[in-house]
Amino acid sequence: MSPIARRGAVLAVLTIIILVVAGAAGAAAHPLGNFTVNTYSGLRVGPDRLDVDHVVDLAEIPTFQTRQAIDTDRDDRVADAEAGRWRDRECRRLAAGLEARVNGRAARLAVTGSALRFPEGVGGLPTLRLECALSTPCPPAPGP
Amino acid sequence: MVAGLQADLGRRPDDPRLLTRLGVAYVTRARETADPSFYAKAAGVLERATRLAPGDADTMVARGLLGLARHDFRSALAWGTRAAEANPDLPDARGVVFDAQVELGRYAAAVATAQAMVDAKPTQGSLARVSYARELHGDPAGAVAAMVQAAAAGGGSPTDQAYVQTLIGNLHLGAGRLGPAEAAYRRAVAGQPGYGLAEVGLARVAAARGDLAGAARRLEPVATALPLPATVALLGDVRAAAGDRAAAASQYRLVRVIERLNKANGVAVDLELARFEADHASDRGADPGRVVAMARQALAERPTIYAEDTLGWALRQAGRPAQALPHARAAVRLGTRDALLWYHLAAVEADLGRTAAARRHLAEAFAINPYLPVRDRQHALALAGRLDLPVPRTPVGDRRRIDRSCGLGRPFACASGIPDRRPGRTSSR
Repeated sequence: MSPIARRGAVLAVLTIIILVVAGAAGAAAHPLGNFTVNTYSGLRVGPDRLDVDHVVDLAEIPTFQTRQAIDTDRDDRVADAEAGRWRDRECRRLAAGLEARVNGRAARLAVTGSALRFPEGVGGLPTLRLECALSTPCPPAPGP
Repeated sequence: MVAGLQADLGRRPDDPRLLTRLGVAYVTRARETADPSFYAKAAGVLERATRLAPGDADTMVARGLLGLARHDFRSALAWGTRAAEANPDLPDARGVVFDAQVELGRYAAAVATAQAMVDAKPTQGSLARVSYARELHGDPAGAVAAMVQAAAAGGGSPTDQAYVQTLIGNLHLGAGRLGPAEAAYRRAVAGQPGYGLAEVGLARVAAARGDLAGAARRLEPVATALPLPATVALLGDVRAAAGDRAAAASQYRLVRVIERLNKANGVAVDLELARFEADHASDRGADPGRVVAMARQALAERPTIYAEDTLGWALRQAGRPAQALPHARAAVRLGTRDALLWYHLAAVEADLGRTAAARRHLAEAFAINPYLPVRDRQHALALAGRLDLPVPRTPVGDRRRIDRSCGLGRPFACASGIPDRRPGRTSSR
């Protein structure tokens, strides 16, 4: 079975809003405003696996609200440990919320990597960028 | 609206009329979403429109509207005045002029502008401004009458209509008439479901009735969808009144973040922030000296009665009541029937040991609005206790009638004769 055919056999049902703002920074980082939540899912289909790069990009206001949730000891600072715990938990939660189907069968996306950054946004306020690398094996499709 | 205009501009990128309309649409979007990042976009297209058609009065009005939205009232006044000169029949031009004059504390000039507007044509826009001029000058009944006429005049968009109903509600609420206030807010949301400012009004009514949970339920979605600093701060106040200090503190922090964003997007926020910080002078990390400086700066930029009140309150909270007194007095110089102004004056006087004046002015505050905002009510009641002032037994203020002799029956009899200034209603010493 050719990779092309296999690709056709993979049905990934994902909510995808693709917002690519390559190279933009500062005030232009959130072209839709300071309140927006942007999500992106990039799919890579390999011969034996489906990889999903899931990115969540928060503008200044939702970042502030999220950082309050991350700051579990409420000292007004996001410590590395707090950020790490939130990042891992959030990626697992997002993975569970994405529905992927491979050859018509629901596939469980596992977290294979994650990154959390707070790029500086408007007015020196932090924004939030969470990257979750997700993956699921693709069993060979039933041959014709 | 925005998307359609952008598409049109794609075909005719140098059409100044399209650019102006897109600029106004951006300002409107900023108002509807409370997202200030639209202001920079508006400024960009409007500056281009001016370059392409320097004499266009609509573009001048649009730049005036942007100036108002960014609290750059000098610029708004200049653009509004130029627009009115370019096209005297443009009603919006004088509306911009009036709004800017009020925000710059030029009250006599503002009254003249409102008068000229309503004489030219008693439209929704002109009657609403007559109402505000009357409200500022201590004529709340006349203000309600004019605003009711503004609602009847119609002609605005559904949002305008909801806004006018909300303003009627605010006038009633400011006078402690919770029933009529609620009715007006409900009319606003009936015409424009989910209208944020009216939802905030309903929350304030609930809070005045002591229904803090109901107030918070109403405010939560508004604070998310339309996160205006005043709305977020009010949610914090409601949370604090209900005893949840952590939730309140989180809302207050959000207020500061929003104002920082506003500032980064070119909005002047000194007065609003000083007002807020003066109320939070005893919070962790507060810096009363910095708040006073901010309030001074705001008063220099915008010498309004509310800027006077803010500086007076900031000084009082910083433990400087003697310096606060002239400002607290200046805040009531028009005789404005705003309970908060009178309560602030009374608090300053009480700090200075001027007990008789303090008692009189606190009684005045409670007579104007026995509820007061949820944040200030407990403090005002405590002050009444210290001053041995009998406290009004709220909530029964609903039944007071408003005087409608001016207005409805004789449509514009009032409008032509007012708004008259009332001298001498400043604080007695």
